[in-house]
This record gives sequence, C-alpha cells and structure tokens, in this order.
Amino acid sequence: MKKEIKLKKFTSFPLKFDLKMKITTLFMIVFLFQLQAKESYAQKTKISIKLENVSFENVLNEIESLTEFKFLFNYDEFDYEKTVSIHAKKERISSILKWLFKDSNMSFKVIDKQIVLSRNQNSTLKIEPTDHSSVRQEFTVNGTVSDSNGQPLPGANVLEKGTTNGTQTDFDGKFLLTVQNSNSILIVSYLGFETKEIPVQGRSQIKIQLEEDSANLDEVVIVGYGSVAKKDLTGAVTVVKNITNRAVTNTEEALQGNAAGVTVTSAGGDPTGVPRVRIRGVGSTSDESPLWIVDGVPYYGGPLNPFDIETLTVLKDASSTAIYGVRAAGGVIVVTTKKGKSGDLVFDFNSFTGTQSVWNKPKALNAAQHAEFQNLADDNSGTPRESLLDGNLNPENLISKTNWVNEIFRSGLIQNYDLGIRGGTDKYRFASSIGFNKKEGTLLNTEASRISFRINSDLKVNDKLKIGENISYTRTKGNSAFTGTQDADGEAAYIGVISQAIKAPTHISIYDENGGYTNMPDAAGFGFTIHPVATLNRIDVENIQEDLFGNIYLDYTILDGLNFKSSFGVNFKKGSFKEFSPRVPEVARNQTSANSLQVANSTQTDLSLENTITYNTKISDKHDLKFLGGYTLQSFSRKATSILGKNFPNEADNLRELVNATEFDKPLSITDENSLVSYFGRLNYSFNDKYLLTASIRRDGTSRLSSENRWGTFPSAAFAWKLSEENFLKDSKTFNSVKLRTSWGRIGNISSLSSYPTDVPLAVTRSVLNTSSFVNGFAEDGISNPDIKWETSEQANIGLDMSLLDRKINFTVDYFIKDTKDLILRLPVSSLVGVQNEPFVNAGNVRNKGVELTLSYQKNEGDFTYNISGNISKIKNELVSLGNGITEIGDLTQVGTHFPIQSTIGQPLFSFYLIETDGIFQSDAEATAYTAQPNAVAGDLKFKDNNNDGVISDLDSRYKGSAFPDFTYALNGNFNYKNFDLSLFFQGVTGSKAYNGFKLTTVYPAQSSVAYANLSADAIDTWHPGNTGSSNFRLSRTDPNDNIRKSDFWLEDTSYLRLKNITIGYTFSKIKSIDRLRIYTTGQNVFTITDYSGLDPEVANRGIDGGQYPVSRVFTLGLNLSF
Amino acid sequence: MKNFITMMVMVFFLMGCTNDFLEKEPKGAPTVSNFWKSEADLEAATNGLYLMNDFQGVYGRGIHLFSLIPSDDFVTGKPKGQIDGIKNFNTNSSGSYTRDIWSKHYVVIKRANDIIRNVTDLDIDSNAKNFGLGQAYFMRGLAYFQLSVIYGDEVYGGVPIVDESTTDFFVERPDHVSISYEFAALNFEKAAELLPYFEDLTPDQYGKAHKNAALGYLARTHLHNAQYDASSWAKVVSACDQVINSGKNTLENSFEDAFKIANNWGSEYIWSVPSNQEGGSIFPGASWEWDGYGEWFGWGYFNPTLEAYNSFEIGDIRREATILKYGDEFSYFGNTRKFFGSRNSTGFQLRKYINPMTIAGKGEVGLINAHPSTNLNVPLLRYSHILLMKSEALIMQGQNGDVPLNEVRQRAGLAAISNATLDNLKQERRSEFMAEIFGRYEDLCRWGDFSNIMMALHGRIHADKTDYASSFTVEEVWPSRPQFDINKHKIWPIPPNDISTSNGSLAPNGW
Repeated sequence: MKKEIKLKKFTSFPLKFDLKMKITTLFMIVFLFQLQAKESYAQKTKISIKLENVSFENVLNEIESLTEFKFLFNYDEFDYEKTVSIHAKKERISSILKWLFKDSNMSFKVIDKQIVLSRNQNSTLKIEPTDHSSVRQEFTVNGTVSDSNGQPLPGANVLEKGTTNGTQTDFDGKFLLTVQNSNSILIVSYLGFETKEIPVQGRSQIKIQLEEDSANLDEVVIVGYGSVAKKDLTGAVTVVKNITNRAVTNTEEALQGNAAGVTVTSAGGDPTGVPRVRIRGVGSTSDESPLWIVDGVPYYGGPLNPFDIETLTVLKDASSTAIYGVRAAGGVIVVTTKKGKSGDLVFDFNSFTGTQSVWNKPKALNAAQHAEFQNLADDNSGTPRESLLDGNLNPENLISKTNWVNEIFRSGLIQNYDLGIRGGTDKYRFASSIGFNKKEGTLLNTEASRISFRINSDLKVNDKLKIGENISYTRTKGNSAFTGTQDADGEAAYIGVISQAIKAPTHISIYDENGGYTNMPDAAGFGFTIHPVATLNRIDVENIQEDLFGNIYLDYTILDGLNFKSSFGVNFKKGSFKEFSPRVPEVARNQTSANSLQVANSTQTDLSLENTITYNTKISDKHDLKFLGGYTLQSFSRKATSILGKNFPNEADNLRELVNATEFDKPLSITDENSLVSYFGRLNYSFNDKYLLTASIRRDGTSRLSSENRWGTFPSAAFAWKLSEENFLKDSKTFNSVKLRTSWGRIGNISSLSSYPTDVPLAVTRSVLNTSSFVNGFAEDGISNPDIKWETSEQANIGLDMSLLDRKINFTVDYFIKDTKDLILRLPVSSLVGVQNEPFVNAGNVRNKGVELTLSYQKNEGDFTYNISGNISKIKNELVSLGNGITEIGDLTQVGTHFPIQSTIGQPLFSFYLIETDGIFQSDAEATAYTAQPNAVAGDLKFKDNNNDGVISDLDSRYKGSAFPDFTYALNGNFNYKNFDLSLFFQGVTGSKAYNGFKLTTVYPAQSSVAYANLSADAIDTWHPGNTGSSNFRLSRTDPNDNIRKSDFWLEDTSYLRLKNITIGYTFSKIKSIDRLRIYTTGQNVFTITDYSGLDPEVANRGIDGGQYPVSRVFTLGLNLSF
Repeated sequence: MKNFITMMVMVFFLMGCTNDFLEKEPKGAPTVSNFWKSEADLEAATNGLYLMNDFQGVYGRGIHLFSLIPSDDFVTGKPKGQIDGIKNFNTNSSGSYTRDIWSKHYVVIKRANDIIRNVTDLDIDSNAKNFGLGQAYFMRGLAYFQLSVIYGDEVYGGVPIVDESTTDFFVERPDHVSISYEFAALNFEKAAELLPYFEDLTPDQYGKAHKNAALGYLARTHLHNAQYDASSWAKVVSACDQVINSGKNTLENSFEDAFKIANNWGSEYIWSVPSNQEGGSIFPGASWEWDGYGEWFGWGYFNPTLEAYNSFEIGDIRREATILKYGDEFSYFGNTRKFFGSRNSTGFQLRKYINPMTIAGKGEVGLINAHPSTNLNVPLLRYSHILLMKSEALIMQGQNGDVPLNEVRQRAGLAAISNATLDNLKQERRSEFMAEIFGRYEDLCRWGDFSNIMMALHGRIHADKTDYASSFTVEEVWPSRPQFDINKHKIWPIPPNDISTSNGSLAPNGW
C-alpha cells in the first residue's frame, strides 16, 4: 500500500523547508517540542514494532496503521526509500522517532496526532536534550489560551512566527514557550477558531482569547450516528447556535427563528406550554413532531434544559434523517449535552430573573358603554331595550366597579438558576449540572416550575475501550388556565377565562359583602358568565411530570478504524396528576354543588438497545470510506390509572385527598405497549475530497402492524460536489468554498398509529341505568384494520453551500419536495358503521415543497466585531389525494359554533373553507337590491353568492388559505465592542391566517348564550349610521342576516415581525480567580408589528384563535459566571 | 474486560428472537378477538346499548327540540340560534344540539348487531342469552323506530337498514319509511319473545329492556306506520292488547304520580330515560325556569304557549299538573313559592317534571349547571300511551275506542265519552302527552292538521316579569310560520357530516 501523504495542507504552516538536502545524510534527531500536555496521545501511546530492512516509508506506514498518528512530510526533502531496521517493545513514539531520525537532519514535531517531519534549518544540528528548559532562548512567555467565554482551550497550537518553535497548551489552556526575543510574534490556532497573531511586546504573561470561527469549514457537525466535518456534509442540516445567551427557558424557544425550514409556533404565554416544532411543513393530518436524539439515544423525556446543551443540529432532508428511519419523518433534532473535560474543576453559573406581563391586553367596554352598545344592538334590530340597561331605571348598573381583564392578569416573576460543574482526570471526565426554573404566568394562579439535574461522565478503561453514561432527571410542575372558547357541546364559549373576563358585567364587585365571590347576574341584561377571578383562584392542580433519562454506552476500538459501540438507554416518565374541582357556590354559568378529585398516575418506560459498528478506511489518498452498520431494539410501554373521587363533605385544603371522597367512579386503566426492531447500514464515500456520497438503508419492524406488513425497508442516498476543489474555482479569491448537494430518501412513519390498530381494544362504556352512578360495559367502538401498513415520506433535496470573501459571507440554499404517501389517518367512515373511533387507514398523499435560505456576514477584526445572519423559508403544502373516494376531511377544531377548517384535495391541509364577504351594505337600498340576502339592511355584511343559486349557503364557500405561513424569516445580529455585547433577534412570518374566534365570541351580542353580556371594546367600532366607515358589521340582537355565520369576515392575516429578543451584555475583565463574569439584560417580545386585531398573531390550534393565553413581554437581568 | 466484550457480542447476536419481540398482545380492555366468550361479556356488551340515556344530544336537547319546539305547544324560552332555527324550519341539523342524533342511533344499532352476531350461537345459559339478545333486538328496534320518525317518510324514504350481516355500510335509504318501520317492528317482536316481564327483573336490571316495553314500542311503531299502511291499525290493537292483557301495568292513581321519582319504576312505567343526579335526561333542567331562581339550574328552553294552556278541557286536572302560570304556587325545595319567570317568554312554565325540585334539600336534583339532570326518570312510553294508541287504532278502524280512552279521561278528572271521535282522541293525546317526545308535533303531521303548526302563537306578557301578581296582556310570541311544508318539514335533515361520509349513498332530504 503506497500512501501519498499530502503536503498541501501544510503549505500554510510557518515552517521553512530547505529543499536541497542530500538524502543519505539527513537523519538527525532534533527534539524541538516538548509537549506539556499531561495526557497527550504521544506520551501515552506505546508501540511495539519489529521490522527488518524496510524502507522508511514502510516504517511510517506501519506506525500509522498501529496508531492514530499521521505523518506529514515533503517527499522532496526526505529519503523515504532508505532502508532501516527497527526493534521496539512498548516504546513511546518519541523514543522510536528519536532513534529513527538520530542520524538524519530531519526533525520531527508532534502536533496532537500529527507528526510533521521537516529538515532542520540549522546546519550544525545536534541532538537537543528533551528537556526544553535547557534550550537556550532569550525570552520566556507564560500564557493561557481560552475561548470567548473564558473556557480554556487545551491543545491549542502556539507557534513563534517565522520559526518552527512552538508548543501546545495544556489542559488548563496554559503554555510556556521560550521565544527568540521579546518582540516575537505568537501565532495561536485552534480547530474551529480564528487563528490569531499576538505580538509578545515584552510581556511574560499573556492571556489570549480566540474567537470561534463560525465560517470554519472544519467545524464538526453532529449527525445521525456520528459526526462529520461541515465541509463534508451531504444532507440538509442546520446547526443551531446561540442557545443560552438569550435567556430562553426551554429548548424549543431557542430553536425559533434559528434554523431555516423549522417552524416553531409559540404556545403563547401559558407557563406550562411548550412551543410546537415542525420541520419542513406538515406531512400528515396527525401529529408530526420531530424526533429528538439526545446523546445518541431517542429521547421522549421531559423538557431539555438549554443550559445543558452543547450542540443542537436539525436534520432536515431524508438522507440525513433516514438512518433514524421510523419516527424521523418529521425531521430529527440531534442534541449532545455538555461533556466533562480533564483538568481543573470548572464551575459555570447562569442565572436570570425578570418579570413578564401581557403586551396586548384585550379591552372590555365599561358599564355605561355596555348599556350603550347593547341598547344599540336592540335598536338596530327593533327589539325592546333591556330595562336593566336603562340608566334612568337602574343607574347603578351603569357604574363600573370591576375591570375584569385587569383583575385576571398580573405581572409574573421568572427565575432561572443553573449551575454546572465540569472536570476530570485523563481517565475519567464528568460534567454535572443542576437547574431550577420557575415562571409565574400572567393569569392569576398559573405557574410552572422545572428542576433538572444531569450528570454525564465517561471512563477511559484503556486505549481501546471507553465506557460512559449520561443521566438526567427533570421534574416539572405547573398549572394553567383554560382560555379557549370551546366547550363540550360546542356551544358558544363560556369557559375560556379571557373571553369571560370580557363578558362579565363590570357593575358588580369581585367580592360580596360577606367576602365571598359575587353572584354573577343572570341572563337578564348581563348575559350569564363564570366569575373570572373565582375561576382562576379555584384552580387546584398538581401536575407533576418526572423524567429520568439515562444511557450507558461502551465504545470499543477493535482495530484501527474499526469501532464497536453499544448503548443502552432508558426513558422513564412518571406523571402524577391531581385536580380538585371544588363546588362553585356563587351563581354563575359553571355553578355546581358537586365536587370531585381526579387522581391520575401514569408511567412510561421506553427502553432502547443499540449496537453499531463503524469502519473508516482510506484507499490510497483518494478514496475515503466510512461504513456504519447496526441494529436497535426499542420497546415502549405506558400504564395509566385514573380515579375520580366525588362528594367531599369538607373542602379544606388538607382534606382534598381521595380518602375523604364518599363516592367513586369506576377507576380506569390503560396499558399500551409496542416495540420496534431496526437494522441499518450506511456508507460514506469521498473521492479526492471532491465528490461525496452517502447512502443508507434501514429496515424497520414494528409490533403495531400485522406480521405481513410489519417490515419496511427505507433507502436513501446523497451526493455532494465540492466545486471549489475543481480547478476552475480552486484559486478563486471570491469563492472560498462552493458545494452542491443533492439527496433523496424514503422514511417510514407510524407515529400517528395507536399501539393496536390491527386489534382494537374495546371501549369502556358508561350508561345511566337504575343506580346513582354509571354502569360500565364494553363495546366495539373502533375498527381494526389488519391491512394497515407503513406511511412513507419521500424527500428529494437539492442544496448549495457557499463561502465567499475570506469566508466573511456564508450562504446556504435548499429546495426540497417532500411527499408523504400512504398517509395514515383516521378516515371518516359512514355513520352507519356505528363506531365513534374511526379506523386507521392508509389514504392519500401530501406534498410539501419548500425553499430555505440562510445568509450570514461576519466581521472579526478590531475591537468592533459583529455577525449578522438571516434565514427565510417558504413552504407550500398540498393534500394531493385521499382514499376511498373521499375528497375532504372535516376538522373538529372549533370556535363558538364554527368549524372553519377542512382538508380537501388540492388545498393545503387544514385550510379555511369559508363563505366570502364583500364589504358592508352602506344603505338599505343597496341591501334590498342584493336578492341573495333577503333580510339584509344597511350595516350588514354582503356575502358572495359564488354559485349563483340566489341564496347564500355553505355551497358558496371558498378555500381561503391556512394557518401555515408562506414565509418564515428571522434576522440575528450579534455585535461586540470591547467588553460589550449586543444581540438582536427579529423573527416573523407572512401569509399565515387565523380565524379570529375571540372577536366572534366577544364583539357581537348575537352569539346566543351570551346575549346581553358585556362586549369587547371593539364593539365601539362597528357600523352604524354615525360610523359608516367601519369594516365591522352592525351590532344586532337578532342578526336576521346571519352576519355572524362562518365566513371570511373572521379570517385575518397574521403576518408579523417581532423583536423576539434584545440582549445587552458586559463581560468583565478577569477578576482574580473568576474566569468569566458577564452580566446582561434581555427583553423578549419587545415589539410586534402586525395587522392582526386579535390578542397575538402567533396563533396555535391550527389558526383558530379562541382568545388563547397571550404572549408575554419579558424583561430579565442575567448573569454568566465561570470560575 | 474480556467478559464484558463477550457479553456485548452475545447481546449483538441475540437478534434471532425479534419476531417474538415484535408480538404485542393488547393488554387491558379486551379486544374483538378475545371478547364474546361468556355471560359476563354479554352483560358488559348489553350495558353499552343504553348510551343514549345520558346523551343530551338525544334526550334533553336533540329529539326533544325536534319533537316539542316546532309544535304549537312550545316556543323557545330564550333566544338560541339553533333552537330558533328548528322552530322556523330553518336548520340543517348541523348544530351541536342535534347533529349527533343520527350517528348515536347507529352506534346503538352497531352494538346491538354485534351482540346478535356474536351471541346467537354462543353456548351460554339460555336465560342470560335470551335476555341479552332480547335487549339487543329491543334497542335496535328502538333506534330504527326513533330514526324513522325523525328522518323517514314516503318521499325521501326510510332510514338505511344495517343488521348483523351487513358488511358494506354505504347503504342507501329504503324507498319508503314503512320498510324501516317494519324492520323496527320485526325487532320488537323478536324482543318480546325473548324478554322477561319487568316484574321478573332484579332491581339492578331496571332500566333494561323488558317484554311490555317491546310490545308497547311494537304498537307505537305500527301507530306511526299506519299513516302509510292502514293495515297497521290492527297490529296496533293486537300489540296493545298483549300489554293490557298481561295485567302488568296500570295507570298511577293520579296523573301527577306518573312523574314522580317514587314511581320511576311504577305501574305506569313502560319505558323511560333512567336518570340520576349525574346523568340521564336533562329535560327537567333544560325546561326549567332560567337559572332556577338562583337556587338550582334551569335553562329556560321550553316555554308552553297560551294555546297549549288553553287546549285543556275545563276540569282537566292535567292542565295544572302540566303547566305553571304566573302566581301558581309550588313547593320549591320545600318552600312555597309563586311562579314568575324573569326570562320567561310566554307567561307559562312546564310543571310536569317539577317533582325533583319540590323536595327539600336538593338531594334529587343534578349537581352541575352544564348537565341539569335529576333523579326523575323521564318517561318515554307510559301505560296511557298503550291505552290511547289502542283507542286511536280502534277509532281509525271504525270501531269503538271508548274504553281505553275513558280510562285515561277518568284519571284526568274528566267525564267519560261515548262513541269517541278522532277529534276526541286528538284532544286527549295533546293533554296527556304534552311535553313528551313523539307527541304533539308528530301527531299533527300524522293527522294532517297543518294549520295548527302554521298559526301564530301567543303568551301572557306580564307588565313586570318578576312580579307574579302583575297584570298581563296577551301578545303574539311567535309569528305564524307559513313556510311550513309538510312535504319537507315532517322530517328533519340528516346531519351534513353523515351525508358527506356516506360516499353518496345518502342525500339531503329536501331541506
């Protein structure tokens, strides 16, 4: 095997080579570098080697094959064909090399695992002692090298400019280098960081900080089962950075706007909510959450503490995700958590505290306006005014006493503390952290807290074997309030507390004279609502989720390049839910004389065993091959029990326990199990470092499908071409790197299936017969489908990565087409079948097409450095086909009595399907002339008779878009001036729509069950002869024109641009033993530009806005401390 | 270390057993493949037949809205878009109050079919088997009967028939509703053969089907079918006679007693919606005074009209037992109160189901405003139905129907009639069955008395609604409804969702 070792890489290395040396007399040992590292590879690696009369080259090849060392040398200056014999037994590499080169004028230098051979410049070479202290030089520099956060960088290269004199930093980032004189210049370099030149200027103590080089293409990206240099990526992969420097409380929040193609919809201000993450659109009518892989193991655990995250990578195209097969159809988010480092203990402390408040509070009418506009509604419809709203008869009813909206909201405290400790020896390393986070919601009596704990450690048993484990525990606790507008009967809302705060009459007090909650006045004149403050104060929920996640792994090097890894992971989740529903004694819509306690416990145990073998090899220098093969076994089981205890004689806090219930419903239990077996293989092939090929295949078997359909085989392939390695671009000053990528892959998906779709368990029935409680039974309430098979998602991707102008500008663009085929969904069956749970079927295809673009610019010189990056993505979604002759699927997402959503062939999933409006009739004559609406008068909405049948009906409906945005974009700016840092993060969407159900249920009195209730202040701007410019139709008691029907009047554009985050920080110069101290202040959701008239343009729930928990504006003060 | 490696290598090759690893038998609730084995399974399955009892979209709102609101006896007690639409014959049934009637009935049918298919040849105790099968036939019959009344006619056809052998569920409607009535009748006949009398049931079986319920509904099915097929009249008489001759039922002594919790399972009971404080029919609450004077819940949905109040014969004790007018005294949770209604729209309030609210201590009424059921079982078929059905069938066949008619009249405090006419019978049915489903409105349609449906309706509008002593004027409370069209409005629209999932086998019926 002839190995050509390329010199090219080293031309930039500041070594002077004399190319004209006679080869027979070259060998000498000059030991120029003494590694200070306590644990360097060179020091601990011992080699046994026995070779007789072989060439130098053979010796070097043999050493390379036995160790991880690579030799770099110039063929011109080295007599590599000279024969030599060598006998060594467990000798250090330095001793062997010393002996080998003892008669030559070549010197060697060990830089990590690279050994650079060079000819000595000095013609009068002699063997230097190995102790550098005896090297006679003139000036000694003592320094430390750290990253921008003050973390020491062990193994950084420090070279004296213009010489071969250099060293590496030790594991505290420290180095000691004797240089020629006090004006020498040091060149400091480290993988992934910008190389810096530091003039010594007579200083004997130098502290050097290196800036991370985001454009550095040697950056290593964690991908499925391994890592790859960013320059060698073949798939569409986004690395998410800046996770912790903006005071986020969960990882999903950190993702928002940080990765093109990833749509994150905030859960509003709900303290217990977690934002929804979707990668490259929605392909399925059911849930399509991404798969999280944490430290190599599928993660279904609790919220990840962002503080623990080392790297976060989003895998988007099928070739990147295919290796994870099943569950990966929604994309994969790969996380690695912080690992220990050998050396001194390092403490990291992060803390922030702040307050949050609602940035856009809804407004209600006051008591006098309440009367005025309800009277207007009566006048408009010719119905008699309500006497209770007559100021002459009942003047006290027109005096406001309570602003309910103000009463239900508060400003909430946010606290976060994280402490991390890292350290280790050369054999054992660990990182541990503990975190606490507590958020008070902006609605009364809502809050969430999280405690997290993690320990990651690994033990190097010997050179071949490493064993490690990652263990984390998370405990979350919290309660929220229902803010939607749906109730069980689909009646217009009376449960959602925000809309109820609008509707509650303002002329009454919160408390009555006895200190109890005031009765809500009955329907006459005031509608009939719940007591908003009482409802919130009564919430008594203890919802504890505990997650224990652990994996233990072993990494064994069988031969050089051949590795075996085995990992066993456990996800254990325990939920304990306890909700006491007390009596509601005050007269109110939710009045009840019953009380109950629900206690539900669940455990979920997911086990995974995974074994992989990797083999890396090179065939000549041109062919680089990596093989991966492996298999996994996974099992999931969930058990839950729920007990409802009723009729508590005493509701005292300490008696709200099951033991005090006097009646019980039949307890319910659920057991759910499924399992998965997968085999997979992958090949990475790189030719000449120019053409890159990745191909994988995976075979998944699942217990959820019948034995005939159980197994699915899912291939993928990707190809990348580094154009910048071609001659025509090689020397370009403009293009530093250009890479074209293309990929295709197919993935199986069954995440929407229940565990037993082929043999559906019977439903527990509950009937009223001759007892005071319910009589239970069993019934077939679903349909088994033995023929159900894999849903597949096929994705093609083409992308381009470019680095321009000294890598200052980086640019990535991707185009993809993702087809979800044999879509698994619950297809509506004929009601004559008589089941209430529709069967799972494979029906239909969904196509998502999209473009993603990321662009960044950075400036890294001088005191003022900055980088600006932006991303934008456009995704188009279409339901291509459905099975069984069905053309549409209704959607039960509802607000008031409206069901505005439908999924229809040819339209995006979950499209709004609505009657179209055409403005407002400005005169009765205009209304009369329009015969399709016989009851219309001036101020009523004009509806389009699209089918020209002379009447307005559902048949006139048209598709009006969906909640999914056309464009999602974000802009990030990070600016550093000396010790100050500033970051700005803007995020926005365009083209998304929302159905403003909050307006529907709060502005118009014709919503039946709230007939005379108070109205939103938006009622002021409705059409009446004195306000004909309004685009809102008139108030009416009877609404003969049915203005309030389901129509596009309620549909609004929710495009927005939001300053999500602004952070200003200051990093103190080193203070004694503190390595780093930074204080910062952050504002979140500082301002929002939107035309949306609802509470917040980020509407979850498929775009149905029922007055959800509004997003908060948050201001925090934070601290990062390392010592 | 070597051991460790060996172990891992072993694990690596422990892959032979993956097929076992991938076999997961469902745990917990039984599945179709391991159910239908025992008497206990059969009992569990029959319990699931009675799901409509607690479903307010069937009994309470649902059918009660379709059956009571469009008649001349009631107007909606408060503005409610969905209910107003029903009153005005302007609905597509998609509203949440009525959209589940159709599909819930087919759930009952499915569960009955499953029992019939799986149990007929099952080797278990024959009494248990007969009782189980009898319940299945009865509930399937009841579902087809109710569906036929609500959705079936001679123009748009009957309701699609799926039975235990159906495999293709895109079934079209039979040409004529008679076909589905006949199918219902067949089920009641089978049920009557299999079921024991009510007196043979143990208290824990109360509320489940029994022989006279099957015979009673057999009569009722033929009664409704008789408008299309005169030969049904004789079958009405025959079925009624079987109930009457069984001697198992009598009228309660007083009319009021038929609506008392104490007589939930009394002699007049044939079939009802079993109810308790947590579940069952919400009709007593839904029809009660809005907000129940702050003491209980009431939805104020159904206000009797002046026409309803005035329809009673002089001296008919049922008038005051059925309707409250301003100033009428009643016991309200043990306290005497005089009726007024702050949100009442006619000056009248239903009294018929008041019994749970009269009892001190609120121990008989529901606990939740959102589901105001009571301990009163809401009657669906009483012994007086049997008597008046027989009477009508005799009269329609040109025979004398006096005996059963007068038995009902006598209890109402009215003098006997001889040679009663159909008009006498109509009068009697209105007074006896006011505020019970499948009474007035369906009768008017059967009899062709459309003017009663179309005319304007009136109430007593009191000067001060909250003063029971205040004076009133008689005012129109609902305008006349000339839009009523017997060819359309005798039946109600099949909910759009059920049409859209029918793959074209169902079509809108005229609305």
